[in-house]
Amino acid sequence: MQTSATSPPRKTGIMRGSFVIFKRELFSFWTTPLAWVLLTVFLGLQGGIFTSIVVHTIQQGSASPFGPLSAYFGQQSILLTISLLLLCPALTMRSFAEERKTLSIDLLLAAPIRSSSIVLGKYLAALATYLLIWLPTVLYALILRPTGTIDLGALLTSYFGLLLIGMSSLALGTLLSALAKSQLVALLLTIGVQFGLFVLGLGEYLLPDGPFRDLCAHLSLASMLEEISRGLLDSRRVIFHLSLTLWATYITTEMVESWRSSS
Amino acid sequence: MLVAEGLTRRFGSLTVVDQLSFSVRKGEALGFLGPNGAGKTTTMRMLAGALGASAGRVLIEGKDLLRSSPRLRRNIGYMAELPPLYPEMTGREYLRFRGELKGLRGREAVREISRVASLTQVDGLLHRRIGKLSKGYRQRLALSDALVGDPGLLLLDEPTAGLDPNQILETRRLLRSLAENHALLVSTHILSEVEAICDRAVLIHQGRLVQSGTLKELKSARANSCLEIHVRSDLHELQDALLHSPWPKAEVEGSSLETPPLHRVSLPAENNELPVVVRYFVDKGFDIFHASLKSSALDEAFQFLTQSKHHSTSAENNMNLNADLGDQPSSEDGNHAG
Ligand SMILES: Nc1ncnc2c1ncn2[C@@H]1O[C@H](COP(=O)(O)OP(=O)(O)OP(=O)(O)O)[C@@H](O)[C@H]1O
Ligand SMILES: [Mg+2]
Repeated sequence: MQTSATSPPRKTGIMRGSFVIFKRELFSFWTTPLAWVLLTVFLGLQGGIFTSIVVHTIQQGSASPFGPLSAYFGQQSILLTISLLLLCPALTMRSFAEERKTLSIDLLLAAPIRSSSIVLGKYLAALATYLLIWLPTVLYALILRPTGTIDLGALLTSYFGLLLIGMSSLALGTLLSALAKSQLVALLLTIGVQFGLFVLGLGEYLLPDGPFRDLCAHLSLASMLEEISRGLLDSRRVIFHLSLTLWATYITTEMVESWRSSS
Repeated sequence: MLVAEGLTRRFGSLTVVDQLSFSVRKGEALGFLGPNGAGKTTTMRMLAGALGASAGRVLIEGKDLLRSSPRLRRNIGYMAELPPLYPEMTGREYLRFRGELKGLRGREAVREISRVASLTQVDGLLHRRIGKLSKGYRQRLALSDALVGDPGLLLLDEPTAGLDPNQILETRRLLRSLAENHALLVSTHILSEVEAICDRAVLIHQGRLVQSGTLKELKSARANSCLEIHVRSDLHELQDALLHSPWPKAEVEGSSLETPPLHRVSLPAENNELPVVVRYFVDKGFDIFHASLKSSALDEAFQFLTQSKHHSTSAENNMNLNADLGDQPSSEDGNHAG
């Protein structure tokens, strides 16, 4: 408190505030059933996909020339995409919508922290939970290691790609949670937007050659998953996801700022 | 410590808080009175920095709340109405989180938590999940939350709502003692609460300030109720009659071009004096075309306030206040159960 008189006003650390929010959000993710339910369903689904790929590989040879893990991230990507389409929105639906409904958001808005800290803390907690939910799938790689079919580069690229996808769709979900009046609306909105992006991506297969088809290809989650499973990551995709993340986080911060400062 | 200047808030086309200006000094408790829907909570949220104003500004220690660093908010302890707490946390975890938001760490935070918890007597239940606490405990936990970090300004939105009579007394005593070296703004629609805690009060109604001052001043302002009669007569005759009446300060407004013209006369008199007034003028040979009680915004506000006592759970809401106000003196008896 003594420093408040001497230190310049901008010194209210964004990171300190974010970390406090981050801890609480993470706490609430894992002390309420939501994260555990998502983890269970997600791992059940992934385990099923993975097992079927392994069985397929044993019986008929690899489903992908790049090995079973690549098949998991790549060729089965429709399943993976769909589970991503549901996982991320479910992780962010509560973020702001719930607190706005119970009005507990007031206590955060009145607190001596920046709006960016609130957004960042909530966002990073969702991202951390997302990564924690993915963490057990590293086991698949460990299981397959003795078979010598693991391409480490492709594996790392795959996880990096999943991180990118998670970053952008969680940022989008956080934004929509700030816009929506209830968590259900936030969930449906986010799924809707994600699904829209997904469908746009399908344009790659449906449209004739041309700039539109290229655009669709860039946005396509399915082909991104397919590429990263082979260790390829187009820098344009990286830029797309990073800028979507930054844009959505920025808009969310502006929204939160507008709640507390003007009408 | 706190200055509100022309504070206004609109929701769509509805103006909920309209040009409110008042201030609270250190060492003073200001009661924030108003009937349901008057705009107390909306104002409190703006003062706490949780809701933007449509116009006007909030100054904390002379600094504009919205133009200064968020750090300025460390001086504010805000207790929201129906306090929203995180049900999955225990009281201790919650207070710790709130302390960290205010920049407290480690030992310091632990000490501060036990200080505020013992002030509000929630220390026995800090290990329980908030979702499992009774309403009264949650209310007190929210109060201790507002006290964390010992901010100089306390904004408390109906701090005693939902407490049992003993706790109400305890809390009032605590707030009274806090008022000695803090600036306190306590919103309530219970007059006796203001009487017990506050030095001054502002009364708002439909978002507008209708009266401010000491409680005594508020009450005497209430006594100036007003009767209105419409009289058809010559102006001079009427003024002459008024001058020799018990109401020499009555105001006369002419409103008609007919002869003799119709005058509206406002008399500073109590409601129950209406028959006396009418008889006085009839005896003097005036024709009365209309007689009514004129209710001011202040009147209306007080009417709501005194009615809302029905809903108060407090058994010790003193009834003499009602008697003072001359409002529904008997209907209150035996109504504590609400
Ligand atoms: N977010 C909002 N959107 C629209 N109208 C609102 C909003 N918040 C408050 N209002 C309206 O503003 C008015 C004042 O509400 P407020 O909660 O400030 O009153 P109050 O004085 O605190 O009442 P009470 O004594 O019941 O707590 C009400 O008519 C309410 O409907
Ligand atoms: Mg209220």
